[in-house]
Amino acid sequence: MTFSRTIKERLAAAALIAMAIVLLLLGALRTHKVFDPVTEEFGIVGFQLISERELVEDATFGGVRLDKGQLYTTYDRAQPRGKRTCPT
Amino acid sequence: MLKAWRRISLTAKRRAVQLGSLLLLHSSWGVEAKWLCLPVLNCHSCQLAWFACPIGVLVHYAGLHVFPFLALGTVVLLGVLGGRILCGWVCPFGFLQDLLHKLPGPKFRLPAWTSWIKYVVFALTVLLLPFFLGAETLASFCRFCPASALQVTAPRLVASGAAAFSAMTVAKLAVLALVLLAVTMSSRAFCRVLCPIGAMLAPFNYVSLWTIRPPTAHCQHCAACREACPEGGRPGDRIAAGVAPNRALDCIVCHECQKVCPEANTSGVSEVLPSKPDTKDALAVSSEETLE
Repeated sequence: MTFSRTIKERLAAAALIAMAIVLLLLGALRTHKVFDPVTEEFGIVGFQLISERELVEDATFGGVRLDKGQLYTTYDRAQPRGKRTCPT
Repeated sequence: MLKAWRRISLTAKRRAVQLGSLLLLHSSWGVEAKWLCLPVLNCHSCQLAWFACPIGVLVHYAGLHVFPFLALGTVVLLGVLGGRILCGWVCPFGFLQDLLHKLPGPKFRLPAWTSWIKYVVFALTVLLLPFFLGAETLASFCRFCPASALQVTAPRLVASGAAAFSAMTVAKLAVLALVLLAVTMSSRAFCRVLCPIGAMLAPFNYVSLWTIRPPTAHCQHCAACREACPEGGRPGDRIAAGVAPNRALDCIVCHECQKVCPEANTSGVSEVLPSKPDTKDALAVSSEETLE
């Protein structure tokens, strides 16, 4: 009755920490194709590769939308960004 | 400085940390880190917020049909390190609930089954409905989040006046009013019943590296810890069973049960640094208690 963690708890914690590190590494390395409908020429739409970090920010501010399984930008990415307001 | 900090009571320390985190989390005048999710109920749409809310990120990622590697990795890592300690010590909305519950008025405890509602809220309004109906669906959690109403909707209404007025604004503020009313009467009612971040972090309490060690293994069943638990839990049952009191879904790791334990106050044991009872003695007492 020492309130210490059991072997099972320790193993589960170690496995979850390893999983979290893998998720963070994959998140750090992953990129997403974001298409820009404004750049469409001859039926071909241009795209940019953005990092997961950028997508987290974009997604929460309505900076991207999903259309037929592809991500489309909703703003001009060439412009400098300031603080953004809530889409909801 | 460190000595002075040690002399402060645990509750005062918790209030200081809560106040500090409230101020720090809302101190971004220019630089932001909104790619990083901090699992506390704090709307990233607030102009002064530093970090992203994991619920907002999960809602939008579900709507975009993208797997949230960074958000999930951060939540899992922090969950394993501290369980729901962020709910008890860092969450600004939790702090607000703690303060409102100090107001005089009728008080009651919610029935135990209500704590399961938050898992349904999490599954439906954070994952399933945004996935099938899109992130902008009116049924997503962000649409009626009381933290968002308090940090974003209400200030915008004050700043823009009638221009920001809509049926959704009224609905969101009505939810906020109901939640604030509920938390004055029932301690941490929102955390207990509705909070999807609590639902997400709760299972990590069972494996987290953070362990609350009660000052005694010889529980007298005085129920002082049960009275002190802001979540209305039963930490005494776990202490008596030799399990750390924070190994439960509804524990917010506030350490109040450790502080109020009469053993801590009579034996001179520090409220923060517990004694480690002799295992043989403790086991003997445990078996006696079981026989009784």
